[in-house]
Amino acid sequence: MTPDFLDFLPMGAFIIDRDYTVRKWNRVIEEWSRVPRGEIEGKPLGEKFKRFDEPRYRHAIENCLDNNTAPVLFSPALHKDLLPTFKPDGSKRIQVISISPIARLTGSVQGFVTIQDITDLTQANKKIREAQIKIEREIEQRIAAEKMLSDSKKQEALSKLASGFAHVVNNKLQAISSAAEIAAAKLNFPEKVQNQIERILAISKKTGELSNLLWEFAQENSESSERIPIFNCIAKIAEEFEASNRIGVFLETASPEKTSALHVTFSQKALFLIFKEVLSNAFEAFAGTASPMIRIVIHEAAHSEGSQNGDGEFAVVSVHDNGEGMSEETVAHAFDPFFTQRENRNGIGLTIAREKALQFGGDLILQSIEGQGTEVRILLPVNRNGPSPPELSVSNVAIQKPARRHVLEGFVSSLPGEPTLDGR
Amino acid sequence: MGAGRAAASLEALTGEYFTMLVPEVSIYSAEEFEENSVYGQDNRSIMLHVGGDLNGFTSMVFSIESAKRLLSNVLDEEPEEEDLDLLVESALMELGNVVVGAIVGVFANALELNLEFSTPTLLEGSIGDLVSSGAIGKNPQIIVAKIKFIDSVGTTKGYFVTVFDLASMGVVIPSLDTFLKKQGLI
Repeated sequence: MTPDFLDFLPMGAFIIDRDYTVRKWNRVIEEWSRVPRGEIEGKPLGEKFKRFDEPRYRHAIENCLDNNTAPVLFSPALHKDLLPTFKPDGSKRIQVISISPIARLTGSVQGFVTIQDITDLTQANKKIREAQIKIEREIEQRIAAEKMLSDSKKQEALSKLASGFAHVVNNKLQAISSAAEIAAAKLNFPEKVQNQIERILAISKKTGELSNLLWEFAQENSESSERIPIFNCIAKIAEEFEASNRIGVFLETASPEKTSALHVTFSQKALFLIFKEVLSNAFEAFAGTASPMIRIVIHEAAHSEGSQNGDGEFAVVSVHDNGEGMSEETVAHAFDPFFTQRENRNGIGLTIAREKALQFGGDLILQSIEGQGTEVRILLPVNRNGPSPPELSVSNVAIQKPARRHVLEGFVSSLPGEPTLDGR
Repeated sequence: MGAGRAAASLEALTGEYFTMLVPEVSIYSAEEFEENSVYGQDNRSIMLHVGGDLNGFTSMVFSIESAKRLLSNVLDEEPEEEDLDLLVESALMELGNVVVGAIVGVFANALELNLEFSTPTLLEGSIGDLVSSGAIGKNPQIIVAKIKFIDSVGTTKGYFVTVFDLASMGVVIPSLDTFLKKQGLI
């Protein structure tokens, strides 16, 4: 290759002698570096580009030229501004510089220097990578969305199945119960047979309750959340439960002003379902308890305390009973479906209650001491977005600690369209 | 052979202290090389074509993880992306070129071979594909040297892979004999 050919190369190129004297400065490097060939040819490279005189560059280049070794390479990441060149808009080019020994071609110790511009390639590479990352994220999001849709469809299908199943089972149970009742009333069976018929009626009743629960659970999957004043709602629930079960339900709060202003984002139906199950569970724990008592304590807003639903702000409602309590093993399985230690429970109420709580962003946490009682903490996501409630004076609310629920009657307001504990 | 020169060159380039160890060198036929673990790996190879007395190519092969680790010391930060971007790749090419150039330079001087080198290129993917492509003749001979780079942070592993055609081995072996006799080793 004769030096004149360098002007036809589509990259910066020049030749240097062993002593760094520039011998040919091609047109491209002339344009890129803005150093005319007249100013540099015949002169040491270090005059215009001082960094080439640094020992580490001299050592590498001289070793390459003297020993006719493999080319030396200077990458843009490690050697900025070694030989700066510019684009027409004044921005610096990103470039790779290589120096190859060409003594075999020219007969003297010389180096052939090329400057490869990789600016566009680097920027295109960066854009491709950014696009790749964006596409990967979009794919991840799409997969997640498809999974959610698939889960939602499965849930919908299961709900329909459960609903249909519950409907059919209820019809059959009603038929069984009616037949048994008629038989017991009209026919004079011996006592043993009468007892068996009563058993049939009792089992039909329990199975019917289970079926109703399943139906309720299936029905409410599409239910949406709303802003609920938690104190009013709990007071209403406590009142109904106390009336229908003839048991003292105490409602407590440490800070009536704050608690009365507390709202949660939840489904009202789901809330009633949860409390119905938690209170029933408490009520049925009183076998042999001398002075059965249920306390509901409404706490101020707190953080998750181990909730599966993250570290958000929750209203915490604790339901305490002084019943028989649970063993550690029972506590560990309390939310497992069909797990129960009591003959009169179906083992699915607390499971559904917790699923409901999780579904609407809350949670249920259960603690118990065998022989002393149980506490179920119901976590409900706080809603602070709505309008402020009217001011309530403490004397007006008349809450004391502890206070019986019926003291609150003046305060309890009815909720529009609210469900009742018996599902009406 | 050449590991000391390569380490010194890396040190001069980066200002980092390097030691290089070559614990194992093996020669393979193309068929035997297919059994080698480096054959089909997704690697980054810095490759120089070699002409003159020999015909083939010589390369420094790194796994992406090894490349990142080696560069993290030189660039003062570990490349964040899962893959290597173009700037990081060009730095890897420079480091690989220093190592390959130093080793082959010492090798050529010791065996008194006249060699010519292309500018380095970076190969993405499996070096086995290149060997089996037939670019280096039908019966290439492959020399694989395991290399350990030890710097202030730890150890990085790589492979120095040289592929020559059969005729080149006819040049290397007599030259090697001459060298060993001169050294009084045989």
